[in-house]
Amino acid sequence: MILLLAAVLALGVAAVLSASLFRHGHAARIIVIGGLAAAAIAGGALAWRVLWGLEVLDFIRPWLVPGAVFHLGIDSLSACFLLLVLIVGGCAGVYGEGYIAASHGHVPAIPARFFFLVLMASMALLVGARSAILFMVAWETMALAAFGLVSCEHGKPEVRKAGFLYLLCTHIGSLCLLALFALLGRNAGSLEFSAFAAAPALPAAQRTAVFVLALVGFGMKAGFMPLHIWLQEAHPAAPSHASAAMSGVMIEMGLYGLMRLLALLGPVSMPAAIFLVALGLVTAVFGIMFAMVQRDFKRLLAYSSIENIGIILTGVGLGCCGLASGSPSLALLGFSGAILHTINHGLFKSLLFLSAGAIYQAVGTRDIEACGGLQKSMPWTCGLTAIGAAAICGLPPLNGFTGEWLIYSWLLRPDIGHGMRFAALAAAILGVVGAFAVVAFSKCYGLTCLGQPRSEAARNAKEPSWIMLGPMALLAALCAIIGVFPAPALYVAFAAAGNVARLARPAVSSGLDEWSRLLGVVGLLGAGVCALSALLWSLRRSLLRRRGVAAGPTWGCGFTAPTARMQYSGASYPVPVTRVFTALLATQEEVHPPLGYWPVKASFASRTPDPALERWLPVLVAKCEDWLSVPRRLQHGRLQLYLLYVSAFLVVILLWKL
Amino acid sequence: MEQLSQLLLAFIVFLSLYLLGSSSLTGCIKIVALQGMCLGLLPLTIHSLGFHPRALLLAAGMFILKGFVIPRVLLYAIREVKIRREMEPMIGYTLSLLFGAILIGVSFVLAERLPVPPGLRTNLLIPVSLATVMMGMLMMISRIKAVTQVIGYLVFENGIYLFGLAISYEIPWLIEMGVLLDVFVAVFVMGIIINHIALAFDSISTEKLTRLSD
Repeated sequence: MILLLAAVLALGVAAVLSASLFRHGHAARIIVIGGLAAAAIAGGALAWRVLWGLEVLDFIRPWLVPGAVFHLGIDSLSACFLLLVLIVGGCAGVYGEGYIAASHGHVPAIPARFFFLVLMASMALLVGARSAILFMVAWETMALAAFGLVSCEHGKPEVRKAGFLYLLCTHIGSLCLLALFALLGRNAGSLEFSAFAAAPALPAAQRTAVFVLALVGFGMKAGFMPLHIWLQEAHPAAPSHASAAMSGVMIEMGLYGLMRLLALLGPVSMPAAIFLVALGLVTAVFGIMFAMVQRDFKRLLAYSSIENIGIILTGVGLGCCGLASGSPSLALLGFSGAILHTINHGLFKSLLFLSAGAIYQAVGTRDIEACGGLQKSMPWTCGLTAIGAAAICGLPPLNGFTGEWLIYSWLLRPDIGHGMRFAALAAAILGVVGAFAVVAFSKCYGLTCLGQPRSEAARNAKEPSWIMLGPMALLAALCAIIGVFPAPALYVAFAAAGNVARLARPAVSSGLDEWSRLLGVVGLLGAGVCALSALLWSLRRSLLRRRGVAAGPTWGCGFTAPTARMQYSGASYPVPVTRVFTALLATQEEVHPPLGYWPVKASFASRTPDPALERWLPVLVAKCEDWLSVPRRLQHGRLQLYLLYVSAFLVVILLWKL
Repeated sequence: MEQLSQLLLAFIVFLSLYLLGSSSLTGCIKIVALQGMCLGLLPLTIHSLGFHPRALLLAAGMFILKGFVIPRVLLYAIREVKIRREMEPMIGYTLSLLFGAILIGVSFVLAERLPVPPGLRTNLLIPVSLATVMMGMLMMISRIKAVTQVIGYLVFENGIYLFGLAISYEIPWLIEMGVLLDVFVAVFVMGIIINHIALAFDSISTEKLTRLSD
């Protein structure tokens, strides 16, 4: 357990040092990378011990905070998330050094380094926290560090707006968590997690309250629909390495919290479990549908994060269904699917955000329609993007497939009785989500990397430095390795799922063998197919080399003056799918068609606002403003009268209660 | 020792009353500094068990911070904005004094109903702390200039500190440190803000701040 403390301390010290040594850019860079490496080694060693079944004693010390002890502990669930934090965060941090250097001062180095390391430290502390107060301290530190990262480039008004929205949302979430822990603490008589687990069951009404509070509190961070409103604003606003860490790990901490609570309090009821599944599916469908229509690639990735959170939540809900129906094997399958997908999402989503950052720096815009043809100028970045995009679409032999496959396997199990019809429906919805993901990411990859450059900047794009490519390559390699050899990742996911479902190790490992054998075969088959295609392609190339085959321009259907703007655009590519969902998407279009025989001007613009943020929220806010117009009169801005309110209240309370 | 602590407490109330009736800002700051010094001495005399070594440290910190550092910051602030007197209090000086006297009475009534913590040499501590809190409040409510409000806040804070002293054997170290740090930061920030208010509104009257409400 000292190792976890060492990791947190290494990150914290590196944060302070990097901020104070900002004048010596090189030293600060070494400190950041050294801190991340030290934390990765310490945390990795600890996670290794835990996952391989060695006992790790809890770290309990008296604390200065009244009514609390400093209690750190670690189990497989914590170890799994700790690994994810350290791997994804480590890669993003190293990449960030290159990103900051290449931004030529656009990304302010001090806050970008400091808050990033604080974010990492707080997340490492969060997974080890075993008392509610320590958990909240880590949670809030994480939230504030992320706020610092989101508002890094606060010179831009949209960044300030996104930062404020994020701060508001995270505070609402934290408020719910405070209420949640207060409820649990009152029942247990202590704010220790072990006391929560040992406490008598809550009455039904309070159980519901706990469920709702946890869902809102953790869901605000994770981005369950319709609590996702900050996500698609904040991710594009943050520097790319920060959005990679936020999207790859931070939002998943919401799911960690949910699963930790499940591990402490035991199963939820069947209706609640079904609600979780439904919420997960709605979130997934919503997220991917809005991802398809985005033009800003970081915003597209943010919506896709919402989709993946939906898939993970579906897995958690399925695990809860398994627990509620008393089937440990189903519970294990659902939770391990969720956790495996969490790991995978952390890897490929951070990879995609990192390559988005590289493309953004090369082209100078996040607009998909200003890119194009980058495959020629940035082959490495585009190749790694392709791997990430294929992984996120869930194509074998990459890792995205493994987690989703476990969830599908749950849904298509023959032994789930009369719930089968709904399960088949859910499987169909997940299938649709997968298909939409292919649309979204073939658009994202195809429009940026393939075709002809749409702008001068895209034509002159340069490959980023090795310090940025290295971490991306590492993440891509991990995606491929988990896809081809899923057994170690499955082992980790099952061990963590065993914690959530409160199962003993023998029960976990018996389920594990079956699934890792099956998935291993799928991974090898997929790898075989890929290897065979590569072989055939290189064979063809070598045979054609002597024939003098040349690549010409794309046939333009006989049109005499083609331009690069006549390619598929971000709006036109997904139209076959989006047309079906016009009512749901409510895309706003501004069309000025060409008029007359000799049209001078014509234009088309489309925009798809987020419904929760721009349609539903204003209605709610207007309602609240109506209700609050009367008490608002008390807010007149006279400081002295405000103080009078306070003191009058104080005196009345004192006279009344004493 | 008992007489000494009683004397200090009485002196603290007297200083608070003096503040309520005084219009000179420099004078007010000096009085608050004096009150802070009295507060610094108090932990050494108040407990029947004598004092903890820790109390010595606290007393020294209190003495330096409230007796020297904070008044210095405030004096700097009023020198920067060039004002000497609180001209237009919302409640006049005589009336303020009258209110102050009433508040002292009320706090004695309230304190009678409060249990006295064991181990104290004097039963005057609780009523004095309540009275100081209330007079600080009164000052914040009835004065207009930002500097006088800061002084009111300091008096208010002194009252809270006195209250904390009553149970200081049980209060964790962290909270004492927290309070001290709080005050220091608050005054520091306010000292800066006063300058900014003066720059932005050409006056340090907080009445002008109503313009900021939406």
